[in-house]
Amino acid sequence: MADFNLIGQSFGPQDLVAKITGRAKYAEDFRAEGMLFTKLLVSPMPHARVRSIDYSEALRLPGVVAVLTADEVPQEDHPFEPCLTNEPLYEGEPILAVAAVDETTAADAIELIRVDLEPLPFALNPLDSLRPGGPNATLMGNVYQEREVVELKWPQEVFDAANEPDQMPLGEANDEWEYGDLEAGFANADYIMEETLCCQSVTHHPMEPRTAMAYWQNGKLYMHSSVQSVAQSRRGIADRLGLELDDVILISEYCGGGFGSKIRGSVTEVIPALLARKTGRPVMMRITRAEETAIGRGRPGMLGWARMGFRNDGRMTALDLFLVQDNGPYSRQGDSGTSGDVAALAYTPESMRFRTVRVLTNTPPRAAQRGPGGVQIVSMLEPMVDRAARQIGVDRLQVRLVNAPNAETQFGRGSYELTSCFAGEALSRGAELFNWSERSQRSGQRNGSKVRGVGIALSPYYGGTSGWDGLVVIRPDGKLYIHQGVGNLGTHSCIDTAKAAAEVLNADWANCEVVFGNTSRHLPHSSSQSGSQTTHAHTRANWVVGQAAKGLLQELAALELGGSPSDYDVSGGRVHRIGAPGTGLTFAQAAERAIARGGKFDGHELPEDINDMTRTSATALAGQGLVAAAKDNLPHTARTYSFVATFIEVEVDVETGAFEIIDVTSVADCGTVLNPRSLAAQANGGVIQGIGIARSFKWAIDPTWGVHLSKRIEATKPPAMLDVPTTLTFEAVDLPDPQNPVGSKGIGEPPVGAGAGALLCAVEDALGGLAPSHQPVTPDKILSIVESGSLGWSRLETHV
Amino acid sequence: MELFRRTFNPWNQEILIGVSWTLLYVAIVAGAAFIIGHAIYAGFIAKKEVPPTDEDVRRVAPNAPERVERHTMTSRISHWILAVSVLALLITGFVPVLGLQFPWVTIHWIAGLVLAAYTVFHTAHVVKRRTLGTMWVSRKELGEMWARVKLMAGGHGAEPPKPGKWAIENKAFHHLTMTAGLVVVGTGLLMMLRVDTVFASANPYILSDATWGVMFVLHGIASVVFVGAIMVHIYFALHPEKHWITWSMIRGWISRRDYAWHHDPKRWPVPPKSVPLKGVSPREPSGTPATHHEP
Amino acid sequence: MAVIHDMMPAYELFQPTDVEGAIALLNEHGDGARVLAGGMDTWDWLKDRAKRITALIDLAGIEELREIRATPDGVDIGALVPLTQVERHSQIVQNYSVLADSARHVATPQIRNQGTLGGNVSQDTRCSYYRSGWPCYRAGGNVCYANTPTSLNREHAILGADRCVAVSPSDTAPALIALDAKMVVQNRRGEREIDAANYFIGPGTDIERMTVLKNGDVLTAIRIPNTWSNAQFYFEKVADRKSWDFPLVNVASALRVENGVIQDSRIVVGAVAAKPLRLFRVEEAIAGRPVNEETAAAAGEIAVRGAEPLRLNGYKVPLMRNLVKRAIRGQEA
Repeated sequence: MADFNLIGQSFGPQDLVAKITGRAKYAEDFRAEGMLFTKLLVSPMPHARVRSIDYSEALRLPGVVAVLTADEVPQEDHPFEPCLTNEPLYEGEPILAVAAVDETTAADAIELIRVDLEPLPFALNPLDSLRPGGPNATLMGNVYQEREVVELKWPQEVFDAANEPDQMPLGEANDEWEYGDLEAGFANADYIMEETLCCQSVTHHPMEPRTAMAYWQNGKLYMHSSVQSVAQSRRGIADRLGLELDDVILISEYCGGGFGSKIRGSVTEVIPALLARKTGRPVMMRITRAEETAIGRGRPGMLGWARMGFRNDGRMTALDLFLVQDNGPYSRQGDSGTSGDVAALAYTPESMRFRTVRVLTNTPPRAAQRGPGGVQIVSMLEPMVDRAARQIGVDRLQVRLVNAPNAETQFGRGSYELTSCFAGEALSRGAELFNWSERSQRSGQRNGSKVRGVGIALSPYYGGTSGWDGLVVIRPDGKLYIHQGVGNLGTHSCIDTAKAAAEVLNADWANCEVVFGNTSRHLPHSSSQSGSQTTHAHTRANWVVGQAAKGLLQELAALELGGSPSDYDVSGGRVHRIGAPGTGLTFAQAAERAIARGGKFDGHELPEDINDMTRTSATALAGQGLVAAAKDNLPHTARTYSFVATFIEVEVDVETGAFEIIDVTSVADCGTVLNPRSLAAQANGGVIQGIGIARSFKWAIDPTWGVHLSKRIEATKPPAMLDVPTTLTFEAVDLPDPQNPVGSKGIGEPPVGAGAGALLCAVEDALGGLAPSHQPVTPDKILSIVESGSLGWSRLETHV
Repeated sequence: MELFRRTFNPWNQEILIGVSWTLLYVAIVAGAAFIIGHAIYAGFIAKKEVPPTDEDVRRVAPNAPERVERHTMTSRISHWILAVSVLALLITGFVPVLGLQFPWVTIHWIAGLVLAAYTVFHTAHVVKRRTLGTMWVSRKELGEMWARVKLMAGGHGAEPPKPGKWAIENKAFHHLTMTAGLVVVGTGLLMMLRVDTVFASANPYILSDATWGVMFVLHGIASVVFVGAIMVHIYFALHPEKHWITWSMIRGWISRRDYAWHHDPKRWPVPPKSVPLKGVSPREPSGTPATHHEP
Repeated sequence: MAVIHDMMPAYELFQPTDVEGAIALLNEHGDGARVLAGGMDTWDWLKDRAKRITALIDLAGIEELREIRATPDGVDIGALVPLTQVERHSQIVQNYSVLADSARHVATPQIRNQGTLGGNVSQDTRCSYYRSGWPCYRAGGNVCYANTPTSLNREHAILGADRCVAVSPSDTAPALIALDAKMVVQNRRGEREIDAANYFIGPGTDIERMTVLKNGDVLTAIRIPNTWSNAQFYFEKVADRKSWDFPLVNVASALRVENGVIQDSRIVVGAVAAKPLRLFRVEEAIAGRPVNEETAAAAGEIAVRGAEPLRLNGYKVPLMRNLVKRAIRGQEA
């Protein structure tokens, strides 16, 4: 493994001081001359059609400048999600926007508007929609068939066959795959278990709602918006408004989190842009928490069923998995499909069948949420695997080790191969750190009303893509400017991945500047800040562009100082002759020479294969220094996955159903560690988010009215300070991935499933294997299970 | 004046939730106005009716017994049960509206059930005794009533004949309260489903908001009608001129004198020997209470 | 007309500097006026436009309401004393620790800095239907959305429901009742003292109010007598989260124990009914009984007699039973 200067060192992110002191400007902190504010009129019904709107009185209110209706915004057929609609598909969906001189006036104007809505049938629980005669969430149908929305109903017999209220009906799926001989797998099993699965939808609730401010200048749109990714969101905005990419300037240097809900910006962010165009004035749309609950996306919940076959040694011989995905009303969500792959990877069953159906519901729109599909399946299956392990008498660590994937594993729908896999190492190291052998002996130990329990979960998740661009400039000021089109949503990867370029150039980090968050600063075509891809994708892209810059420096030095490029090396902010360090050029000199020579040295000639956005940016930078742009063409021949193994010990009070988390230990296989401090923060943050999903985070929608009842963070209950131990242990296996030049893989998502799964397993362990099997495991459910062995209501209820 | 109370349901659709409580005050004022009007009329305008002499009684009702049964024990008991339940319903229903809060719901629905049971019993009773027609108002009675009204208003003409067992005002009151009663009982029974009772857990979703709105309005209107009607009813029960009726509702019978005075024996023939009334001491002096006949 | 939530409307703000001034303002503005203490309950209502006002009477400027005073008979706590101060005040910590304990269990340090004791006990219920502005009984309508065959009523009442099934959300209220505290209420007719247990009212008494306070009334102080000073106290709150959450059930108790035998007690349970319930029957039953598992278990059973759980809150019965048990026995078996 290469010896790195920057990779593997702890750094504080360069925006830390700005964030802590409040100098960092988020979307809603911007003001512009003559700026208006807009407020939204949203649907009070889960599914309705606008019959008429009368906003004449609102327009007469002093201070009101304009009204924007669905008729004035881009519309396409479902599943396209418009920013304003005349057929709201969920409660809280924006119908109309009012722009006024201040927010109070805009809100008061909303109250003067008459909207006549015709209520339409709505579905909240996917099973209700699949019943014969059940409601469809949209006028086109209720399920996704490939990319089309069609109608699918299961015959009554399917529901009758599932006679218990808790038992999952198994009807027709419309997406399935299979490998191995499932029948033989079950026939060869020593132990078979089958169970109903369920997992709740949960809202994203990033700290910063999807606020946006927009204005137009000379035909160009200037947009301050809270987005996860910059280059990709700029594309998103251009697409939604039908603009040329160059006509959109997106400024988003700081984003207060997104968790997947702002990957390409958000549907509603174009509302201020359209109002700004209509009024000729800047328009600010601050999104409130209640609005964010509705438009801010959620994780698809799932109802399902699994059948598992095990040999006596714990090896999984067969897995039959059926998932009904609560898809929300709009775009098709990939979660359940990913769940299938993740299950296949986590347990490498000898044979497997996967079936799913994605059902539309009139609940807030879904989007990827940190570990989409992975969190759901890990949290549903890990406790089930535990129950099986208890039955066959195999240690719960052992059952995971025996089924864990390795570098040779092929898995999932496409028999995918892995670039690397150290899942077993993560499990073993975690067991060692956690002291599993000793702690697992304490399982079920009772002290007064308190019972101990331990749990493990292994959570695999995507760890990166490839093929993006890098763009760096060495300016006459002697600094290396690393341009990043990824977003800065608090994960540090925006900064950390830039180090790959600095690493190649042996640059002093203090002499480097990362340019990000504002497309007018000429950013390259970058990956979206999602799918844990940034670390992998942009260490690659920046490595490649670092190499390109190094090549240019060497070539330049050879031209300027003689010799051949290979006679030169780059370090200490200079390009210098190998063996004669005194002969060379400083970065400042090189930048000036590059400008003087022009052509490929200063960006006037660019590689053929880079993306147009990168080309435009590099062209704009041309002549400002030594400009290097490059596309990541490094080999990427398999799928990159990261793995997190989390171990949790809890103490459950069986008299109250409350529990305390005693210890959380996680070990990750995420390749080479880029920045230990950021990594621990990111991994533990993910584990905590998973713990929150398992123990308290939820949303609640009234089944009769389809109206959201948990519109504040206080009611959605993400984990709070005292819900996790003060110290969480984290370590990385720190073994390099061979298909990444620095050896890194993504880490954003796998910890979430690990945290959720391990906690559920630990709680269930304390209860002697009795499971609430319903997330989150709040005290009411635990106590009900302790008292009567059942929840007292059906586990198949959704949005409870 | 707003006649209805409205609100917006969770879908922001305007729904009816009842009648305006102003109507309650309207009913109280109307009832009070009637009472005051009647009191003034009876006290100062109407000529005092002279009780019939013994001679008159013998002439008009030669064969009538001393005590003429007007209400059987069954109907008296059921009347008083009805009275208690209606009063309980009105108090529990309206006192909180007037501002005095107390846990009224359970008492209200229990009293409502009593009223419902009374309704069923009373209906079964009259059906069984084939007395459904008793309360029928004939065209002739209407004509007589009109003549009486004209006389009261200072007109001239012959005194119309006296009524049979039930005067038209009794019948009118009966029909008014029967209608209002059926409405409150019907809507009230449904409304019981909206709260937890011993019979069922609350389920306000068995009817739509719009249907419930109609239920609330009907219940409210009928209840408000009851307020006025019961005020007037109690007024008459306490009015000295009507004490003979009040007593009959307690004792079951009226005296031969009152029979002859207030009724037309041809229209309400009674058997010569009235059956001794249960619960009444045979030694009790005959005749109506003296107060009735004092000028 | 359309509705909009989560956006503060305009109203007049008044900041009187004495109680009389506040009362005069309340009377002047009548039904449109609302009292503001820490705002932890009020801001939500106003922002959601679920309760409309014309005038907000901010009590923060009234110095006397922010004081804790030792009295010969105990301690007087101004209604606007922040919970943080209640949690830390030496006399309260030493003599009435159940109150300090309960205050510490409220929400978060930030909310306890802002929220006041008077506000905490006078806050409105957290029923999510009611707070969403739905036209339920409590909001002047004629339906309870939380008590239907489909309602989400995990947090709702198991006792004392009357049409409305909302519960009292306060953590400090049970402690105050356990301490026999008096609530000092002032209006233009003068000042009156109300037993803490009678300060709270159920839906049967008035379905639109949680306390006896009517418009024009100001809760000025909470008076703690020394009756229960240094008694054997217990407070426990069970919630979904360990901070920033309302109780699923909480319990506060004060026991006078001599030679292991209970002489007198106060047992109060919160979040099971619209008002914190003082459990008289339990108190009677345990008087003269030894403090042991048996007494505690019997007390728990008596406590939940007559409980009528709703669709999703059956767990509250064992939870209340166990908390009452622990209030007598202590947490460890």
